[in-house]
Amino acid sequence: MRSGAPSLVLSALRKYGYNPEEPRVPKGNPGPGQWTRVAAEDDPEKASDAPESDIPYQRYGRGHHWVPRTVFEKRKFLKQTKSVFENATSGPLADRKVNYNSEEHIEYNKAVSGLLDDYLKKNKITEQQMTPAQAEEFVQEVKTSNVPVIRNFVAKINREVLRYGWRYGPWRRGGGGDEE
Amino acid sequence: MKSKLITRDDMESMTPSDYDRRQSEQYEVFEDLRNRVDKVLERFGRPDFLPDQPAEGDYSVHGDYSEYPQVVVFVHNLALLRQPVVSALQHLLKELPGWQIDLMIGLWDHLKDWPNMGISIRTNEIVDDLQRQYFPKEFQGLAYEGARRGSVLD
Repeated sequence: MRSGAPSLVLSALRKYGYNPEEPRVPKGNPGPGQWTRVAAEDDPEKASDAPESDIPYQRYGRGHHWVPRTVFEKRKFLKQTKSVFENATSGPLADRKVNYNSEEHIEYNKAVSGLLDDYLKKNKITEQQMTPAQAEEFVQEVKTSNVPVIRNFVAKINREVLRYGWRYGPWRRGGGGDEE
Repeated sequence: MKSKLITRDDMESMTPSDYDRRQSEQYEVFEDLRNRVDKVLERFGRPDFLPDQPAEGDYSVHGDYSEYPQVVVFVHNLALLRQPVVSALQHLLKELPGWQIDLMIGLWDHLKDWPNMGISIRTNEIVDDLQRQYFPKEFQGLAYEGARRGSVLD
């Protein structure tokens, strides 16, 4: 099962590869020349590229909420609609730290919140009127968004999902180790 | 509430049913702690994305569970790093040994030009990963009892 997987996955991973043009802290600021936080998260020496053997098994790790809980929980959506957002997660990530990068996730949250407002306006509905089917449609909109902040973070999350799948197999819930 | 913490080191020695049961319990702890963190922080600031308010608040409590005994908060207001806030959060961990609350700094005006930093609040210590040289002077003197330097997401 694993013999052909590495080259295929590596091919997929190249889409999300390291960018040598990443920004650094400019002169005149504390720590000039250091990578900014955006660049640091792509540091191949950092945890996101840690050895495959270090990737923890997570049967119940749900990974990243495509529509962050902080974006929808306090709003007035129907329970069933919230349930769609609640259950729309990436699945386990090889490196949880990618999902905790504050700058990127904060910007992602704000962009998804804006996208959600736009969706409601575009469809001329209120939060209470959004149906579960529309919530599912919106989740897909997030996952395929061309908004750079969203697209780039989705790509990083997908990269970690792939790395997890490479280690444990995407065909079982949460990756299933050696069990069938 | 007592924590029945499991770590990844325990998994090798656990039966699948033990693992399932205890991991479910740990998830419940995560959900409960996350809600209580939010309640505490509401006393000191405004969360992001409240209805009928500007999207940019003082903090947001991250909702993703990774099987790691940790609740992460994105903090946009340095006032939330003051000792009374940190002490109130640490109090939540009194009966949850092994759990941590990580305050990750992300000021709206400095998302691009400040490096990753924060503090990790644990039952008996604070792991301090702040780079105070970036802060306005009024926050450069922030100090915590029982703190040590370290990386937040260790």
